[in-house]
Amino acid sequence: MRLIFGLLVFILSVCLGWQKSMPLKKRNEFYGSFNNFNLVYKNAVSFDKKSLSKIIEGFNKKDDFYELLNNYIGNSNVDLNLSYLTNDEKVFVMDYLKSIGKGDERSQLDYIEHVYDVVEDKKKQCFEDAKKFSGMYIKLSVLIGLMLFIVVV
Amino acid sequence: MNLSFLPVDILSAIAKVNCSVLNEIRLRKGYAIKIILDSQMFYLTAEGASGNKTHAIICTESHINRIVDVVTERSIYAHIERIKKGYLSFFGGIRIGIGGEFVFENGKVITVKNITSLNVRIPHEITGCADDVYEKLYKSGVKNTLIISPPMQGKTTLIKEIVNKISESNIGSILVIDERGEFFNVKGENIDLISYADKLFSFEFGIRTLSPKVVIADELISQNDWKCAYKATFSGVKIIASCHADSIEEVAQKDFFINKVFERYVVLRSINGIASHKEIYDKDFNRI
Repeated sequence: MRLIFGLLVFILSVCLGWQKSMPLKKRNEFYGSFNNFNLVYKNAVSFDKKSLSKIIEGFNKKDDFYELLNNYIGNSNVDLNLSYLTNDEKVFVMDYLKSIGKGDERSQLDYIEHVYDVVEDKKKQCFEDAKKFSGMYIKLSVLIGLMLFIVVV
Repeated sequence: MNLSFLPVDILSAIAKVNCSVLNEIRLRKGYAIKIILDSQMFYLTAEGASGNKTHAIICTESHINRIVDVVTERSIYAHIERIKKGYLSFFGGIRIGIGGEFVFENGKVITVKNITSLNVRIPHEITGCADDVYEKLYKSGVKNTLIISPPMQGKTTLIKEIVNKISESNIGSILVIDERGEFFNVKGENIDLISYADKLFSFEFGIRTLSPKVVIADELISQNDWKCAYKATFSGVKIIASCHADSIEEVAQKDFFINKVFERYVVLRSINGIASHKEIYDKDFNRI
């Protein structure tokens, strides 16, 4: 009985650690896709003049950022309830969605140029955070889980 | 007819209208939406067409934004060349004229902002409307022809039918210069289509590379268009084109009119947007 309880405590601890690390992974993934999309979009505007929906169709990542873009193109109103983004970041993303596709080639390239550096910095920061803290949370949760398992058993 | 680009309230009102005679939908920000049915103007209400303005649907900024967003697939940059020329086009040959603030740089339009009005023009196919013209003008060989009428009298519809008939007669390749994407449904084993390119490019490169026997060009508007048509007649091709005017005299008065380019003139008088009455003239403006 104690063994089973100890195992449950261990699993719970690992799950909590995993849950704590998820937002960091999601943020990393979100800004990675955001950055990648900016590059794809810049090329599309400069060269083949593909429409946004065509660019999104060919976008090879199906994650939160893709869902967000897809929803926005589909019905222009999106509920940006991604808990791992701060309020300022949500405002920035909404501004981005409202601005892309809304101008001629030159104005769009100017805009992407401006946004690119901001997103690139965010991406780097998120990557560092995910690398540093996400692994740490999981390792810590395994360690705490093991300790509790020993105590319980 | 695909009108899916319209906002829901307008679309459901249009569904109550006889779309087979719907020629235009006119939207002006802050004003009642008007529709042209059978060449007659009505207001658009939630219950369909009405002569009474009281319950008309008022065009809002969001109506206009929604239409522009859907038609451009939220990608203005991909449609900017057409926008600079003052229109958008949608599947099915639907052309949407744009009114708003045109932004110029070095004398050229670079974009349009604050769009305040849209004019949705809906094309119709009328099989057989070119039978009489074909019999009289083209059965024994194509003649350089200019089709003349004011806007919305069925010039493009007539030209489309002429293209189909000439194509069926297998006289050789036909080059269709489709500057505004209105000839999307003109297809055939003898037809080459150059879409969304200007006439200067299309005439020069089309004649050189596609070796047509007949060139079809809708709406000769500028001096350059006329010059292109004029030059083409010396390239061994026949031309069928159209021009906005009320009469043959009005065409002859245009600054850029070049006499003897066309061997025949067809003046359209339409009833309910269908080119039902056609007057044919020879190169010396004598009625045939």
